[in-house]
Amino acid sequence: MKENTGHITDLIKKFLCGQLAAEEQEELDNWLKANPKNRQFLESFHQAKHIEEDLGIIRQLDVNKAWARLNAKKYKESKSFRRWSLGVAASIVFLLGTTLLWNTYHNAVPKAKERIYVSKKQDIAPATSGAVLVLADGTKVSLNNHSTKTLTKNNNLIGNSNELIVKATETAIPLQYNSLIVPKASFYKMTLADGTKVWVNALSQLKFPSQFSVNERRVVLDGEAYFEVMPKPGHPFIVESKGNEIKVLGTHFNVNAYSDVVRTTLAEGRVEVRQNDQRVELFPGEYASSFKDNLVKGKADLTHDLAWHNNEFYFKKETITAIAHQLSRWYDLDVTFRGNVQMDKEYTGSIERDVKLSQVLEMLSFVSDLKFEIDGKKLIIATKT
Amino acid sequence: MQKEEVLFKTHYNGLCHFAWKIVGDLSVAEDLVQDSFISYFKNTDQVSDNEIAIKNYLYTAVRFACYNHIRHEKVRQKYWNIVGFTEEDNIALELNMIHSEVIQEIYKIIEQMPSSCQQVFRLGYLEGLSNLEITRELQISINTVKTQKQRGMKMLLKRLNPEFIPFIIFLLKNI
Repeated sequence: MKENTGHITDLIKKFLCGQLAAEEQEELDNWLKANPKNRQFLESFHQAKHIEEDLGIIRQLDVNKAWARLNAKKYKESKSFRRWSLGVAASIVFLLGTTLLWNTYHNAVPKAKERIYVSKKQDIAPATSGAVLVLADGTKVSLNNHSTKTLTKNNNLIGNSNELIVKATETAIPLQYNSLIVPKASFYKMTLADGTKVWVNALSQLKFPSQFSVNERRVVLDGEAYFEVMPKPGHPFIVESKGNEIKVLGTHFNVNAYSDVVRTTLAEGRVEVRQNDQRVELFPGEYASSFKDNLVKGKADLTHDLAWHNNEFYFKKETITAIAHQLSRWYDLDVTFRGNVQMDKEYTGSIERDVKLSQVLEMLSFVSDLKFEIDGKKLIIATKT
Repeated sequence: MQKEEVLFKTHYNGLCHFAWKIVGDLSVAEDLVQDSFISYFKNTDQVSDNEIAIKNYLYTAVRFACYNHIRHEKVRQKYWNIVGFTEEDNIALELNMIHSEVIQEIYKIIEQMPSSCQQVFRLGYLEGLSNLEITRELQISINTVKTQKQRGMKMLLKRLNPEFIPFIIFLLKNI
């Protein structure tokens, strides 16, 4: 736009309000004299018949129908664009509440050419369902097949790439633990002998018996899992994780034990978290966090803590290191930082988890001052120059 | 509602009005506005997330879509006759943009007025009937006409974006 555009607009606004100073009036007069159309234009603002016509035009519009039509048009476009627009939608969501990012964006508007994204060949698909089961006798079974197989002599373990089910049996089985190993770039769901459902996140391990003991139902977790425990009075369900015990009766909760910090977040019901001789009781919406000999509880952000279970990445004031950890587990990456990437900057946002890596990176690159490169399984994070 | 949808619904009417003033055909205007939104949604990463920046982007996109349309349709001459501005006339563009936004807002506010008030307000301020003519038209007392007009005007002034108030005062005091 021309430099003086805003200025004339201001003059006109003031004129309409009757607030023009003498020299401003002169400027406006000059502008009006310069072109008869300018005067015509100004006068067009106070013709009542126009306003009724104008309003009549708007009356003919139907915003909701128009929105539906726009979406129909978008769907007609190529599939790749649809995927792309998903990314954009996510980016917009990502932008909400990012004051920091807003500033960054203003300082350095990324030019399309500069942003190196991942080429299609190099792109990495999101994690898929699958796991490895190590039976109590040491036999390894890969759970990456679509066909369902029976896995033990007792016939009570059946599974495929989507799900493993432990069937309840009448015959007593000695208490022996199997290990469900979910590698990077995988996730898995299983049902235990009592009907309890467990969603196991990438890079996690769950040890469980083919049959629970008479006194308690105990499993051992490394990594992260979400539990929906079948209520059974007098038969407590216990999740053991790095010296913590989470004791429950019937409830929904998440345990994150990726690092040395074990974080239990309760969605429904009641649990008791124990560490050595300390214990806390959690109510829905609360979390307990234990680190070394400290056990504390607080109010949890369920959207954040359960995001992975809802198939989302949800970053809330998280550093690039924490984000990189999540990406590396989900896409099976080795992450390296190049140059002086600021480790203490915090980012906020969310995107669905079942998107390709390039989409997540595009979004991150959009809102941050970071750029990303992919080299095989290596993700290099650097600052934009 | 998604952010995209909110954005669309906030500016759709104003943009259509703006495009209509250029192309003179409402259904063409609607198409051009929808296409502009699609192109904006594709290019969100090129536009600052600042609300005013987005709005300016949309109006500019619609303007160019309109010009392209006009060239394409080879009715350029007709357009110049109707509108009478040069393509480079940014002051006009900016004021037209404000004008479309004012119209959009006024429409929204009138829609929210109670129906009796709405009727009087329309007749009095928009169709330019005198108070006496309105009493005849609606079979109501002159005091009712005055009260309803005042009510409508108060609503308008209260709800209208303060930035637009100069325009509406200018519009209405001349009637």
